[in-house]
Amino acid sequence: MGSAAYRKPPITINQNVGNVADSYNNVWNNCQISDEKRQILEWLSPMAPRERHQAVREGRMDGVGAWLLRTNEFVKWYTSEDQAVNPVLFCHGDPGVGKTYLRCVKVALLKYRWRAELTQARKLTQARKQKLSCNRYAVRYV
Amino acid sequence: MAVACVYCDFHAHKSQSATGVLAALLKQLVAGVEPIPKEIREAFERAKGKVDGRALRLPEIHTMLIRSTSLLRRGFICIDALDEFPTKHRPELWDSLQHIVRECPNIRLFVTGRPHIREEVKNYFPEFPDLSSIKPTEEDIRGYVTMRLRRDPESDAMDLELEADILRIIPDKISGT
Repeated sequence: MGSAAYRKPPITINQNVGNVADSYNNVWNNCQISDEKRQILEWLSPMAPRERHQAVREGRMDGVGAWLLRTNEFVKWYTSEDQAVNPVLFCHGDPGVGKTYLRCVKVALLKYRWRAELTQARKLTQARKQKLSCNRYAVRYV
Repeated sequence: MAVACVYCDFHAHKSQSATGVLAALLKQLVAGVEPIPKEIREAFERAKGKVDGRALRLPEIHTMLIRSTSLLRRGFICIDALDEFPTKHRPELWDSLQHIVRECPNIRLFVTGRPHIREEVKNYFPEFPDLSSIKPTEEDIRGYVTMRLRRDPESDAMDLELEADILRIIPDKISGT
């Protein structure tokens, strides 16, 4: 790697965070991925999930798999951090159906993560606002 | 949090190995870790110096996977169509998954496959006797088939009797598996 000045700009990925299929390849890392990280990931496994996922997406059918997300087993599996909860979940499916299930699972997990991040961000903003108003208060009454 | 998904494909039988699947999972989990764990970075630097850049072996992948997962709050591993993974290599894959689930309490594993795979899951995870196993209800399947029938572009080819037969037989067959 050359000096910082010659380093290629980092590749911005996941520009369209609303598109689950596009976010697949960069797997949850919706900030930026450095050249070095990309090289390391490529070294770990040359598999290209994007191509595979594209095929999956073409074959998907709307509405299938929604039932899965409503089951208690699934909700417990992905929301609970309790170690007593069974970490393994098995879903029956004839060939081809599983991919749709998996897509639903991914969407659910994405939403779950966004919600967690949003709550976190809100808390931070709230804390900042409070701090700010505290400071103003302090300034006013010093 | 990171999610790693692998789709097993019957047609890609030859290229599917436990090492390949685990490497693909590792890659996706590592993508969610910032910065990349030192051990992985060092192993990469070492491999880079070699002409053939030796591929990772399964035990190394295990160690890296466990290390990366420990840096995540939660990690989800999804494996689709496990019954399409070559039978010959399946025990090795199960051993790996078992090892990872045991070593990483923050990992959740989601497996799909035909019903007979359930027995394999139970064998490899006997510590979870109440293994959650889910399948669509007959009602869900009927709803879906109805939706598809409504969208049929060749509605002339369909009559009420055939439609009734489809709606009766298909949900029954599927939910019965």
